[in-house]
Amino acid sequence: MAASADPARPGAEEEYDVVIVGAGLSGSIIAKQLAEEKAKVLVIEAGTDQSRTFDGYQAQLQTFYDTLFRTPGSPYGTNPDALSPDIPGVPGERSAYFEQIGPVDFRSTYERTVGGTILHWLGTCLRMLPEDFELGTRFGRGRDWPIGYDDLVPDYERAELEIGVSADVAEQEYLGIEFSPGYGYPMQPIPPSWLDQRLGKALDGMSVSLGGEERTLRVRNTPAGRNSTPNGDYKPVGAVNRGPDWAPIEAGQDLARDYGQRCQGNSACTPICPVQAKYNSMKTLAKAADTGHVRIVTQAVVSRVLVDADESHVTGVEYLSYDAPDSPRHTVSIARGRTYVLACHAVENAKLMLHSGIAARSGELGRNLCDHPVLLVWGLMPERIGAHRGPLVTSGIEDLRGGSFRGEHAAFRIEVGNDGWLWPKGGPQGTAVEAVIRRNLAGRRLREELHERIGRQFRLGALIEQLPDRDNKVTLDPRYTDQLGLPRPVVSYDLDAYVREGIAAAHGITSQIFQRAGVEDCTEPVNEITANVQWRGQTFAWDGAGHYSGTHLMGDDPTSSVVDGHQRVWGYENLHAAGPGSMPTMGTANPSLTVAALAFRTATDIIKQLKG
Amino acid sequence: MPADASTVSSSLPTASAREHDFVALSVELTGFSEVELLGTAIAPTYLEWLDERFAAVLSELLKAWDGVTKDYAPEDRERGVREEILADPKLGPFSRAIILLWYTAAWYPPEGNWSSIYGGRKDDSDEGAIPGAFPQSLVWKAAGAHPTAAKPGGFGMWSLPPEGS
Repeated sequence: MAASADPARPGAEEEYDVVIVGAGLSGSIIAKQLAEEKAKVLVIEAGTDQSRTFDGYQAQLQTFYDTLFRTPGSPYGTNPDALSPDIPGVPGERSAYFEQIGPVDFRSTYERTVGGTILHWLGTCLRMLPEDFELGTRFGRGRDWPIGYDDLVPDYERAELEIGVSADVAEQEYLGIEFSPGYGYPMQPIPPSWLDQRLGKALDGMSVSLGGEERTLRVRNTPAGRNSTPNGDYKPVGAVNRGPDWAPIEAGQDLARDYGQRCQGNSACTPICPVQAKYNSMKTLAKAADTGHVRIVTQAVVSRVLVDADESHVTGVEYLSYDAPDSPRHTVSIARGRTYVLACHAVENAKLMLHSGIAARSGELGRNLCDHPVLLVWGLMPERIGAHRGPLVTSGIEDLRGGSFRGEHAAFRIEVGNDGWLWPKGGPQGTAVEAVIRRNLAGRRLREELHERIGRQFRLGALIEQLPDRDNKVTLDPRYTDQLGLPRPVVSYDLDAYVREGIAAAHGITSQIFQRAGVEDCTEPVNEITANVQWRGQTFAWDGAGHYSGTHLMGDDPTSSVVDGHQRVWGYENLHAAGPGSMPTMGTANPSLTVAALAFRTATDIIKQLKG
Repeated sequence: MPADASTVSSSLPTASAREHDFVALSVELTGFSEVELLGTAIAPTYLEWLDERFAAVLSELLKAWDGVTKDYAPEDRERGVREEILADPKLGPFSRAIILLWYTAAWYPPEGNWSSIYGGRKDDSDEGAIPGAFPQSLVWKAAGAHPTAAKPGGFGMWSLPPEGS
């Protein structure tokens, strides 16, 4: 271990207007917005900057190819100095990071690397429903947000522009979602898959009953953070290829510049888009670097937030710069700024504040951890629908995201998977193994059988809303540390009756969908890959969605929330905690778009603060 | 780059007799034509990988295949492969692992207690993906799809009915 830095030593410190911890979605957006206002910004990233160069990014793709059983973390591997979570029980997964104490395993992961978890995101860009912001008032469940849908609309628009969302406004107006007059998405919708079209033909107009309400279902195009055909003057952003210190690579050598300006149908959105047609945070980070006002430091793990004697003012952040991921050798430095933003994902933000002994007043720090437990059902369509072609998901059934039934059980949205049985069965390789070993097929008959069977495979994933529960939490325990001596998070998690009732309700709907579309149900509730959950005598297969919220939730009362409606940490005049951890609830929307919108909102707040 | 960058077979015109036999047997085992298998340019990689671990068993397998080509009429080859190879306690599990090697670009050790009886250089520890081979795995092509993250069909192709429908 290296010696501690002496904070008093002249020259050991760097001074910035803003110090941002984490080079992911929130950190990149806030860095760019502030740098455009000429603020001097430092971004400190725990992971490596491998994704920064085109070659480094492609090396991750190669790692993915050479991994037999793929997970969202496969391309990004294990960094012992900045560990990322694994999925418990999945074969070949990276080293464990969380200390899971249950009763239910938390099954979602995130990435500690430049670009952050947005490297492996699916790209879904749904806005939350207006009613999602008012669950307490409307349904007597969960919590209200301190802000409403209307407050966030301008930031949703900024986020959709920055990400480059492909969607059609008319198709996204449902359950109270309204758009500004004349608003248009940057790009046209991603074309629907053949599966979307066939399933839509079978289902559109189907009537179901939920909590006594009749609902009509339709298969609806999913707004996507992936490049399609631009509208108007919008210019899609392709792959990133940056030199040292994020400088643009000389003209003529920047092979990547025009690469990935449109989705090619690589069918690998999660975990890695080979051409970067799917948005990632490096695109925003590169724009931030182009201002000349941003310095990005990688392989630097922030270990503590330092505060002054009366604990209302942050005075610096201490970070450990390690030589190489496999080595614990590091040096200690302190960065100082006028203001600070923690933007290193829900669990890391909470871990850092807990470890620093700050933001403890409400007692909510680290608590209210949520995911979207995903009910998985899978089967064979009556005809070949062309699985494994195109973006993993291009449509969903959104009509059950809201309604008065939320007083009784969780709402949900149903994602239609173009990825065959990839999620529940690990891909078509399993079908091949079964055909060869157990069904004794070989030669032409084997090929014909796989042609028919894999071509018919599809799955539905119902993302179930989860409400904040104080006992679902991240804590620290000195017994569990990484090789830098920093804490590994201890995670307690459970699925309550509200979620389980929602899973059962969603299963009722997916069963009706299978019946109506003539789907052969092949779901195995107990299997080797997903988790399972029991409710009222039934067993369901489920998995994590990769969606985190709640570890430093926002509210309008410092005694019951950790941050305010601008993600400013209560009690500290110069500290924000940005990211999914601020979200008190997620409703049923995949959270990244809302996280991006909140980052724009926070950037505006900080600009006002710095100018004030 | 899109992952089609496997080196082209360096020796097609002069491919060894062993490689020729390996591909010919693989045609029968996989249901893919010789042109399709040679088009992957991955046969030399697989052959080398197998020879490093299972050279003797592979020789035995190719000898049995030679026997099938001599003892069975072309229209009976499928039956010959089943009788002489797939149903053989030693060659059957090994040939099924070769089928899966072609289909998945990964080594699934022969089923049952094959490894403890017939060996090879190592046993189950060899399970896993063959480095660099994934884009050539055939299961995707059989399905009318493309390997995940490789050989994409192009923008919007997913809107069209699948090939062979």
